[in-house]
Amino acid sequence: MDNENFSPEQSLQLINKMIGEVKQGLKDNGFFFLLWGWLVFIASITSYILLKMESEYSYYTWPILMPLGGIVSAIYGFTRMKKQPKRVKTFVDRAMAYVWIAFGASLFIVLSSGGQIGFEKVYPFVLVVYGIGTFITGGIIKMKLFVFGGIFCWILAIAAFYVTFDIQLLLLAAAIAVAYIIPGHVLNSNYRKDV
Amino acid sequence: MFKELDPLLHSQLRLAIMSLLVSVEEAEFTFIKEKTGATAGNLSAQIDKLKQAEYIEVNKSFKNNYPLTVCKVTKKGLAAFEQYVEHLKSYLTPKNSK
Repeated sequence: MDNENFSPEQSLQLINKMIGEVKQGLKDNGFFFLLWGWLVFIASITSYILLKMESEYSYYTWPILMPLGGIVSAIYGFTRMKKQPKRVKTFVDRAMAYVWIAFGASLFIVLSSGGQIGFEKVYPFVLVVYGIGTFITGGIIKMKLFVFGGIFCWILAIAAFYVTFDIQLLLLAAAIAVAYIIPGHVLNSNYRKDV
Repeated sequence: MFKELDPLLHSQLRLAIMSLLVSVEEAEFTFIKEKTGATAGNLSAQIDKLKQAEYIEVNKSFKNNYPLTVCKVTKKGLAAFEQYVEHLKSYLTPKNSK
């Protein structure tokens, strides 16, 4: 690759090929969307069933499943960094990192202020935060499914303010299925097709 | 009229390096080597030329005792690349449409 006499057409082909190479290697496999999507889905459905059975353990699904998600995320993130270190940084990487840090911080604030704002308002606000995360992600990675998922979360958030706690759990499960699990599986199958 | 193409960019390997770098914020030497398929020696030489022209910034450090070279396109480099593509168009579009 050191020939200086190449044609403008070849030049353009080369530019296209290189830009394509970068895009190719940066596809996300949707792991985190699937992990958290399924965990929240299982936690909210289980919590709903236990609540209906009038079990006193209905709230225990969260403190068990969420730290589990945290541990799995940390292990997965660490091994992926070891196995295939990122040798390139893109604007998308940086934008995504900031979106999800903001998401985590906002979620933490909402969850920890349940006592102040009232526990019946926690899930509606959680849905608002969920919507922000996927809506912006959809815009950054140009995936409409996430954008629609975000809007869906917001619509359910409005509804969630008017219903009782048990129904809120079902809305949460529906939101996570549409905004995280389905797009997560699409991301994953696109990733597998390319690899 | 055909516009003159920047000789610094109108070279396969240097153009390949620049095309990779304009689409990312920064990339490691090994990444560029893998994507271009160039030899380390040749790649180093071309990166050096781009660096001398201030088209790219090169940062050398160590990671786990291995040398780590990170390249990044500069504003000047980006402007040169954009102009190169603009000039390239004069070769590709029919003359009467310009």
